[in-house]
Amino acid sequence: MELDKIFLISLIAVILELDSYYIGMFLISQPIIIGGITGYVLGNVNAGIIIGSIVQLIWINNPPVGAFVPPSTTTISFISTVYAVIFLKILSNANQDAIFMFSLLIGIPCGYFVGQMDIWHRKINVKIIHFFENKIKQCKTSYLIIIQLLSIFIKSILNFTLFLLIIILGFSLAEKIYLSLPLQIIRSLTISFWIMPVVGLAVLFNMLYSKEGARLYGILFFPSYIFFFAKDAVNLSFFIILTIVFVFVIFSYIIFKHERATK
Amino acid sequence: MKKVNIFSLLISGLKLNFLQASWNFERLQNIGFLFSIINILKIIYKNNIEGLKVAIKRHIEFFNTHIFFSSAVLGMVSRLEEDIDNSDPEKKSKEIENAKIGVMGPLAAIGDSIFWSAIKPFALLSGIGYTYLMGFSADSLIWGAITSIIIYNLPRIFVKYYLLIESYYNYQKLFFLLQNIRFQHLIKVIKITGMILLSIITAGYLYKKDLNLISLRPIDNFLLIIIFILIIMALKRKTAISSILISIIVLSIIISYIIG
Repeated sequence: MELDKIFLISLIAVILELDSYYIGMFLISQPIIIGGITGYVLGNVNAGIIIGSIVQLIWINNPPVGAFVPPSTTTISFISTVYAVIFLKILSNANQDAIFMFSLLIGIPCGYFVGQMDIWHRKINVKIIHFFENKIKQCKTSYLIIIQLLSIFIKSILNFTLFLLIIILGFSLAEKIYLSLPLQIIRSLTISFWIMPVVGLAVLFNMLYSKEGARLYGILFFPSYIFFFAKDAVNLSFFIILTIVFVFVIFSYIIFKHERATK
Repeated sequence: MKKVNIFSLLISGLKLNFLQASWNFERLQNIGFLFSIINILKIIYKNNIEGLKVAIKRHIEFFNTHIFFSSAVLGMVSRLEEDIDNSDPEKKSKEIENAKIGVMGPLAAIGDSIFWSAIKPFALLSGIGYTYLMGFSADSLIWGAITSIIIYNLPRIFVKYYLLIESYYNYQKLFFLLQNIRFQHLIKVIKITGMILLSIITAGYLYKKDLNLISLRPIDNFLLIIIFILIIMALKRKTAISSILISIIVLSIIISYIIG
């Protein structure tokens, strides 16, 4: 295990994780980006993108609304990619898809645990604010910056420690578990991984569902399917033009319908 | 003459990126909001330290709204802090708090439905769609990521800074402005466009995928379509995603042992 690289990507993951809720929310923390970066640093971009894209699709419907704390998809993508890439390096003859699924099974609880850690962190924030509140009320406004920085620091240090612990201490245990798995379980991991992208697509379908949308999905799916098999390459311009035309038609239809209803 | 200039407003707008940095279960985004507005309060109460203390006490209380729409509250509150007379601090506090509470809820609801339910999934779908269709390479990742970041951040920046400036200079028209935007239509259009994209991406994925459990690809794809429909049915019944994942793993193990 290359410790310097593990330190580097853990640091990058910690910084990107902050974007998921604490700073900005610019969408640079999306799982496919952290998966890709992790894969790139460890020498297997492909694995990172595959895992990142699946994580992104499955947990796409997890908005941080109000006091709800969703699982950390950045963590799921990061830990799963690290495990997958290292496993593929060590066990070169192993089934790639089974390794991907096995790594996801390690990453998912870690993501949920980071979500739980976020709840503890927000409880700690209450105590920090109470500690400095009187000083702020006395117009010592620099304490506002201190609270903000302290909160970010605590979040970062908790995540960084957890990432290192999971990767450095957990890896040898995970390797032993994987090597002891019977053939049937390894095959079942491949079957599960075969289904994973479809789970993500179904989650998205459910999220975007409307009667008109579902009809259009049905109408467009089969011509697109035939088109992809008829042509040898995916034609992006077709894809874009079709989307623009449909957006225009639907938008006009909705506006027309609305205006007619208001009249 | 207004004390707060556009430069100070923009600095506060930038500081709103840290609105949730010290989110807490007691008063939610209070410190983030105070941190963002403090430079404006210091300008308004430049020679009035007691006024500043009262203003700080006002804004250290509960605050919660959508992060991108919080700029509207910031702009409106800044204007109210500047406009309302300081002779009766209690009345001033009451007026500002009422105005804040009045807009926080609706803005949070609008922001959640526009950004979290429509724009964000659409942006992520576009990025992932690009990567799925163009192949899992570093190049496609970069372009896919750029696509989703642009689709998400353009409306985000526009909404944030437009509302910030508009709510400061025309705060009385804020409700009128929000009522006039056809949010429901916008969300519907984004969702339908997303659905169209999704249908193309699903078809493209079935064409491009490398992993086939059954060597005959049409049958393999047909099986996946059936599983897709079953998962949608489960999701429609409000089944948690974790339960679906566990069921898939258990079923896969059973199938694997049956195959032998």
